[in-house]
Amino acid sequence: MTDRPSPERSDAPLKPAEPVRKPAARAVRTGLPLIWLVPIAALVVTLGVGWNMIAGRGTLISVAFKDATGITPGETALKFREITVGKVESVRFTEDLQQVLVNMRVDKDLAPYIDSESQFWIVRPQVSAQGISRLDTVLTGAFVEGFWDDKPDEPQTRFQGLDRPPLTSFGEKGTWIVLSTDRSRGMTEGAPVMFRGLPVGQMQNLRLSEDDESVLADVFIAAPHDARLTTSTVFWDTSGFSVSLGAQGLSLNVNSLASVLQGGAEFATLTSGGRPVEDGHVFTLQPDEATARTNLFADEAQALRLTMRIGESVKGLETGANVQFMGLTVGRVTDLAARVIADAEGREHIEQEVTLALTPARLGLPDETTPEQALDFLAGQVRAGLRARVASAGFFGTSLQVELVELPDATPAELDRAGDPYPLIPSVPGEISDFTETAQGFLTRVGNLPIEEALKSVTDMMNSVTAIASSEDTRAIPGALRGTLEDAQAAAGEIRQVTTELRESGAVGQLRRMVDEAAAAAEAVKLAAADVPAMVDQIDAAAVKIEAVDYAAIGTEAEGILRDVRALLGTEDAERLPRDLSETLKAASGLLNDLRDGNAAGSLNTALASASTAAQDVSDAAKRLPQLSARLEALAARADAVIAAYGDRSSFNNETINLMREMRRAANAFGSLARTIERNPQAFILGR
Amino acid sequence: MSAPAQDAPVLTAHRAGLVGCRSCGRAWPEAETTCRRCGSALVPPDRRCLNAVWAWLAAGFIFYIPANLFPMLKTSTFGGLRGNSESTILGGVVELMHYGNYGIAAVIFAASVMVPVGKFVAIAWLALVAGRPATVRAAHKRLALYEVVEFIGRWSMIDVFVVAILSALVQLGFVASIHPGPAAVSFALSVAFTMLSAQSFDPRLIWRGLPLRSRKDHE
Amino acid sequence: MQTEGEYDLSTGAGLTACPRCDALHVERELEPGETARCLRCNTLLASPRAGAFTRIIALSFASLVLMVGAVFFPFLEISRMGFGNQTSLFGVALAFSHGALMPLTVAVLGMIVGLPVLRALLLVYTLLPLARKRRPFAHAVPAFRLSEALRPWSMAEIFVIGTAIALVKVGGLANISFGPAFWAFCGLILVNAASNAFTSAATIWDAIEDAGMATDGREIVPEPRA
Repeated sequence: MTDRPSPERSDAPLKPAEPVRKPAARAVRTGLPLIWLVPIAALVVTLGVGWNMIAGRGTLISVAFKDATGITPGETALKFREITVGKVESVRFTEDLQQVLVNMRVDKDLAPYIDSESQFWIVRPQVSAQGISRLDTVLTGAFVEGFWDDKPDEPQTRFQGLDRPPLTSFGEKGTWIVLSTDRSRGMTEGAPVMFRGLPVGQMQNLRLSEDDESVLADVFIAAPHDARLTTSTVFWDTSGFSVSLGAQGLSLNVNSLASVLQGGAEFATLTSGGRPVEDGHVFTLQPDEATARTNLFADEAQALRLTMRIGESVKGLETGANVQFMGLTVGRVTDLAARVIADAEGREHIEQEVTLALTPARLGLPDETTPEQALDFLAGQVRAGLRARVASAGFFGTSLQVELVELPDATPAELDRAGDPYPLIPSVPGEISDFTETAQGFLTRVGNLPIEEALKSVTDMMNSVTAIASSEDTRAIPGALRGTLEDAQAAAGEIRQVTTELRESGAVGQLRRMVDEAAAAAEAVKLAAADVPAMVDQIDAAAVKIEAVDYAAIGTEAEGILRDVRALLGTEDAERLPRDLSETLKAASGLLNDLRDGNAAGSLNTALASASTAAQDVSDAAKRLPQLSARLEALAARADAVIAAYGDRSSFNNETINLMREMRRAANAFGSLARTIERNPQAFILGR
Repeated sequence: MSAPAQDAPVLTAHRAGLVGCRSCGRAWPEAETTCRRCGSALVPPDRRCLNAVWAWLAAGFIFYIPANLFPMLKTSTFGGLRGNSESTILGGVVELMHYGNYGIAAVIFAASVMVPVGKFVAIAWLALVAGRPATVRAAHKRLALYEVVEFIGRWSMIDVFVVAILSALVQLGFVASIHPGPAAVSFALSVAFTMLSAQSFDPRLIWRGLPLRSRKDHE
Repeated sequence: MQTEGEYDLSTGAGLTACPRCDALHVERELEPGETARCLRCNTLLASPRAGAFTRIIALSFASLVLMVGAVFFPFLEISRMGFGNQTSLFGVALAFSHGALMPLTVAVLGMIVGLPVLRALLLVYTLLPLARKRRPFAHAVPAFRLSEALRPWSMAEIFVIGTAIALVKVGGLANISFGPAFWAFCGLILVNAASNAFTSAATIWDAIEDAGMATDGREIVPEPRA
């Protein structure tokens, strides 16, 4: 649609207009160089900033890790002493795809210190028996931590990262030692090593020894505690808890809840004369403190080995049993074997051969004694009467040990130096006090008391007195006699009365019942005594089971055992036995007095004589009874002590209660923590 | 040739049977389709361009609706413990007012709500009245409106950039992180289409149909 | 070749139509510093400036340099409770780069970085020979046309304002600090604004014509002065 200019209009034909022109306000004359300042300035500034950034960037290092959990390229920081000193730039694989290479850029001023001794590890939340550590990295993200010292050695840019944070940092002063044990009980990564209850080091790097026979752990003992280490320091395992039944009773040793769960070791230097240790010295971890304190073999190769031969049973003698001399442990049994020996006639029989390892130092010999000198000394002693024999050890006497005793009247013998494989020390039969035998003998003696016969005699005597008093013959005796007889009759009547009273009051029955009960008690004790070996086995089994941490079962078992023991030693019957016996004594002596006071005739005398013999027997037996009952009482007192040890105020109970209190406290803490988290997770995380 | 008198009617290229190049200004005969100087297409100022205007405007409007219904930003503080909030444009404005940032709330409201809606209305009105006879003054006003719309059009993109910056910046892991929502895309498209719509509108249409009486017709 | 002042209504030679209101004007050669406005709607028709081309070239170089800094240096750093995050322009664009939002990434990056860079390059390409009064390069015409077409889509300054608003929103949440890229961007905006002030499309077209590029044979030759 176009509009043509209509020429009919009066005005002129339309023409294109002139644009409205406005002249320049002023002469705009700017020099050429001025505007070029702008790009030049921009270039300079940009280059300057860029150069600054690149120059101040720091060096790039690569650390190889097993995996890169928690590492984000461009974000994860490298920290040194909790200060960010670098950042992860990129993550890639190593050439063999086995590890992850993390490339990090470290601040310039720290780069010179990163030398070949630097260590790097990833800090992530870790859960261990000591608790949860580094939970804050859940919020802030994991980071790489590095450690290096302040002495710049030759710089290095490629490192191998550690899998776990090192438990100790190098540069700390101290000594590295190695602990070795045949099973890794008590050894866990990070378990504390204590000295007098203070943690002075930690176990790390658990591994098998080269010959696969023991488990080794490295421990770093920090200065100044490492000054206390000598070659005669002993280490023992403090993990778990130990229950021991000894002459003092039952005792429980628990160190702390942490050591129960996590393990740990403690050390002490018990004897002097050790040499200072260097890094890498190997110590053996003993199973418990008692063993450590008696264990003396810093160096088993120096032990003096002997053998002894015995012909009797060595049931109860085990490898590791002590060798005692005058009550001191001087060595231990290392081997038990059987040997076929041909005696003088050429007949062969089998003897037990026991190998002993003695520490000369414990015998009192100076440290520098050579084995030859030690043997010389022993040979002299043997000539003077030193013999070896098996003896019982322990409370129940079922475990055995070897004793070196001086028997001046022993048959002369010589130390056989040419013995094979070790010199042979002459031996004598052992003195084994068998509880079961003793108890059995005692009960046999009780059973052998001729109580029944004594009572039978008394009854017969009473019958004959009655017969005499009531027979016709006594009526023919003259009146004076009659009077006497009447007196005697009266006496006899009194006796009868007494007897009747006795019978009516059921004393005889009582006596008989008492005898029955005594027999039954003896029977029960015999039965119980039969149970004793079984009970001892039970106790051994329980002691073995104590290694496991099932405390509840052990508690029940211990209770059961102690119930049995109590049953054995505290039954009413057993308690009543001495009481019953003393009552019998009283009754019998009362009867005897009556009988003696009654002025009966000569026929009475015979009866009385027999009665007195019977009574004598009874009194003899009764004399023995206090001894036996005293013994029984002593035994019962010991048992009471044992039970008291387990009773209310005993240390066993205290330890148990303390342990349970600790557990309850820990459980309460966890419970309240869990409740806090449930109720208000934000407060837990934000700390408000 | 002297300039015509000041009050003479204006001769437009359209009336003269010519077409002016919109980018370089040179006038060409109507039959030409391409400007021979700058190479851009020669479009006569008629209503055909309104098709494109309405089309782009409709597209812009269609994309504007989900831009308001869907969330622009997804904020999660403390890993979701403190709250996950998704805010639409209006929701964000309300929240800012709630926190007392009235100034910023006003700016956002202006840039994200008033301006786009105003643009829709303005372009629609311009397209409707284009070519209808009106006074010169009205024409001036419409031209002014058009220039305002054209200028403002780009600035509506601010919202998209704000979302982009926030999403890129506030990535603080556990503590706080912001992610763009689907409304961001939709809004960006809406702004783009509206800009295209404004560009398609030929302002010369405003001046068509004006009386030839006088240049300075003050009716 | 057209003498200034002569025009032909049938072919449109020597005539300029106002892009806004379609009013016809006679094409005139303007003095540097003068402005020519439309008679009716007062739109700026042409405004040649002395040394404008050189300035535009210089400013374009500056904007290229600043753009490099703006892209590669860190832009903003935020920190709160020990967490920190740094973002550069790439990070801003990548924020959208999850799946369905990928086109948006491209668009945002393009509008902020790509188009300004392209425009700067095109301007340099067009104006470099013109500033030295030489014949323009081969594709100067489509180059400049593209540059003009892209002008409304380069949104660097809008981006910076958007950043400021975002910072106000986030400022209560964490500590913000500006990196060198932010300042580079601010400089970029100023440079772009100056560059736009010096750019007059009609003038450049004229210059392209006058410099010897035979476009349509209608170059204005100044009136022969007596």
